[in-house]
Amino acid sequence: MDTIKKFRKQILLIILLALVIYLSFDSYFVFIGINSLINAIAVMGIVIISGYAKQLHLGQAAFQGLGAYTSAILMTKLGINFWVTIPLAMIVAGLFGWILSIPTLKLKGGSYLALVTQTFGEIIYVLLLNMEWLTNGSFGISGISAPTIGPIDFTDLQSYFFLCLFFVIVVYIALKRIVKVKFGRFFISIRESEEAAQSIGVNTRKYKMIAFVIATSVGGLAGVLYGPFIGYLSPEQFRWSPSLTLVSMAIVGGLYSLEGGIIGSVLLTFLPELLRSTDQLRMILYGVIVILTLAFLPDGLVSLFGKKPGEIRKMLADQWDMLSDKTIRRKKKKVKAARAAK
Amino acid sequence: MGLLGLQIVNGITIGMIYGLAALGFTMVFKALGYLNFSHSNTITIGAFVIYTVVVTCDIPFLAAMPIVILFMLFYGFVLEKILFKRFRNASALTFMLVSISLSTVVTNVCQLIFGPQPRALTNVFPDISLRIGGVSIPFNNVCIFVIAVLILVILQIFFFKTKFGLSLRLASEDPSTASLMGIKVLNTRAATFAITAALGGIAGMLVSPLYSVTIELGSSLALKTFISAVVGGLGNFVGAVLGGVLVGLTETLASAYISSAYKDMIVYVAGIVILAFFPYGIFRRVKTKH
Repeated sequence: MDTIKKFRKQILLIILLALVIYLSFDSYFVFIGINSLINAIAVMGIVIISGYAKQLHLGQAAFQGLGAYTSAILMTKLGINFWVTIPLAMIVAGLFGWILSIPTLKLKGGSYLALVTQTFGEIIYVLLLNMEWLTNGSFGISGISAPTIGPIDFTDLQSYFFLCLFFVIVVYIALKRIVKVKFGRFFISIRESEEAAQSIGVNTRKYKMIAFVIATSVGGLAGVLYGPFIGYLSPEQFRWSPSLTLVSMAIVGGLYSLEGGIIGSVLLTFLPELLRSTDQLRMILYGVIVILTLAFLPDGLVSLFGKKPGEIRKMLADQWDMLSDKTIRRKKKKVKAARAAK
Repeated sequence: MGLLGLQIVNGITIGMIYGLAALGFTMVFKALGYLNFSHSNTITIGAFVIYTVVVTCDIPFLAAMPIVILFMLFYGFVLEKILFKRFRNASALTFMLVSISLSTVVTNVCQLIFGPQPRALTNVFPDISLRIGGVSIPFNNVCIFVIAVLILVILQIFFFKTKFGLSLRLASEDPSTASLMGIKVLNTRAATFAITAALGGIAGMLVSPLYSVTIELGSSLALKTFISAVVGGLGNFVGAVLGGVLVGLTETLASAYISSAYKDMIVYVAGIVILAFFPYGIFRRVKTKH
């Protein structure tokens, strides 16, 4: 109860946002709304590993796929209850995350994790496509039924929307707790300077691995929710471009905060739908938005909150000066002027 | 025996192409400490430009090569001056994200320009095969191999016999010392990007007679390029080329003798396993730091 009180404001905001989507009463909007909530869960995982521990994670969709397929196979082939598959799928995704983190996270800089997670996405794609006895290959798995609790049935979109909302809030509170305790401090210390963290006795490898396992198992959870929502899984859904989309969402919202992740995923899920753009234009749009965000708002959209327009203008102007080398030119001018004065 | 020989020749041929692309990738890492994920685009662009020049403008392949190389040098140079230069003080994470986003933008713009349909560049080299010691080698492969080696020799001469090559090497070893020596590090950065783009373009150009030219060409080669660079050790030039050959050999042998469906996966998993045991590549003697 205490925690819920602590994050009252943020949770209220999320619920408010959700209600606005819900109250539009358009089933199309509710559909995209569910999509954005599922993305939000996966993106929060990315925020933990890429934002807090600063190790670039480019394969979140693959872990989402692992979770989705684990849950779907258990449900359709073995008839296991949806709720039981949630922890199992999270464990499977986390286990693969742990295996991947062994060779990569002992190395500094985060470059290797980026390469290996991208490669892992392709490995998972090849596996899902070719292990036909288990995954039906390119035909995919269909007929994934919606979960129920006693009398409540989550078949229709509206009720599924609230189920996803519930999970977003649970994940948000859980991760917020993790970030606030000792763990999270260690993650942040790795982000700021790995050497400094090591010098004060932080086992950086261990904590990077913990961050990655948390991130991947959260990705697995997002995958589990994805299955009954779409009702059909195919390997193509968990390849490179969805992973990239998830990372873009994290950056645009703010890579260094969980709220930013949620805002980014809601925004970037709705934006292309509103523009009704094609797939190609959508990817171009994502790319341009991400580059502009990285250029002008390195901390994402959340860094704009609680600032006056003047402050924002100054921030943007400073950033532009840095990008266009104006600060260096000004310094050179000053040096020249000083020489002339002499 | 004949089949194995042919597989090995094919593996080395495709491996040389991976090696050239990986060389560009590793060069940026050595010079800047960043991974340039948009490197895979240069492969696609190189392949499309050579297709356009050869088929549309009806210029022979060998004559078209310098045009493509010049175009790619220009592409890399412009990209650095417009975009990458601005992020030179950013963290490695930011740079990687910028290059990834750029990669999606360029890929999709290419798709808008060239369309999604695959193209084939056929009859580039005469369709004959040489018989060497019981193995018949397609002339295609010989040409690609020779061109790749030629490019590497030219690069070697450039790096070790010219003054600009020396300044490039120095700037990539230690930018601050280089700038104290009077080397314009910003210019060497631009040159690095131009050369790496040209290397990627050459890889795309050489792969176009073997595979069909599609938008996905770059991204399908990208991961193998990365793996080649990692196997050779990131930042190790000779290692990148040898790593590429190793990846090419593994791929062709795996597809011939193990499973063609899993050939990519075998390469990737082998790459990750090698990273686990030889983080600095398999061609570098371990240096202990005191």
